[in-house]
Amino acid sequence: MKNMGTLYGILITAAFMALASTVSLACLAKADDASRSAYAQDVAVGDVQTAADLVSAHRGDMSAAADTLGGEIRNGVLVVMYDADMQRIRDGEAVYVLEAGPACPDGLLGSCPVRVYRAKDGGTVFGVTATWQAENPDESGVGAP
Amino acid sequence: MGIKTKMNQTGKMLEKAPLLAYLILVICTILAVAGGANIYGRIAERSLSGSEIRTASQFVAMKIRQSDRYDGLGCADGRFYGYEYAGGETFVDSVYYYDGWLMELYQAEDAIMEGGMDDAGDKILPCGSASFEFDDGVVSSGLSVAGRDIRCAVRVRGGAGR
Repeated sequence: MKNMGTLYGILITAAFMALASTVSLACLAKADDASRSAYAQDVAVGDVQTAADLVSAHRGDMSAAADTLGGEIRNGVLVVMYDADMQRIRDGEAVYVLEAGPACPDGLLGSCPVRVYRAKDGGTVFGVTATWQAENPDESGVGAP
Repeated sequence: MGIKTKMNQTGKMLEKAPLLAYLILVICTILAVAGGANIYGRIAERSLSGSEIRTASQFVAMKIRQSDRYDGLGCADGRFYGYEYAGGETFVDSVYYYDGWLMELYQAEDAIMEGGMDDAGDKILPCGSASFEFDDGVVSSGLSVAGRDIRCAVRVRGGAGR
């Protein structure tokens, strides 16, 4: 009877240990996800700023921006694809996507959204609006005296 | 007789039960420690890597923008130069790669002509390579930090580079 008591004690300890291990591993897995998101955001901030500056410097010419940044043009939108570790990929399934464009010329001011989003749910990781002064504002007719 | 044998067998099984329980305990501990260490290692590595990438790209962008507001900038031989006039003399803030580090050196322009001062700069952060170029109003930098190639481009609003 005494042995049975000891046995129950050990079994309860083992069960508690198994539960504690599962909970701690689940917490660490969650922390891993959070760290992955934070890393993606770190890289996204730099790449979005670079893309915005390039688009702005080339006044909305996505092809010229793509020459420096890399990526491809799809329907006037500059697209760069990333895997889960934010490494650039050319083919395959993207986990994150950088999108710049389409450019919206509006008289003297041109602008376009630049953002990195999650391919899975479309949630924005980081985004800004690139703006530039139109090279030949007279052609648009807006802002002319 | 049969009942006695069964009781003996049950008794033997009960004797092994603590051993089994301990085994479960040990396996759980090993799994938690090994799995936890693996995940924690990844988190720490990613955190360090992210911090280095952020520091490198923001440092470079800040230097370019700062120089753009001062007295001009330029790129030559893969290095970045920011110029500043003070007290009738021209000073140059150089950012370059040297011996596994991204370096920064602030010195009088005349001293640059003499050369050989690369190791005198301040170490900014460990780096595999670094190069800068100025083209069409944009300063582009290519850095290799934390095993990753970073491209940072900054539009120079002030215009002319040197």
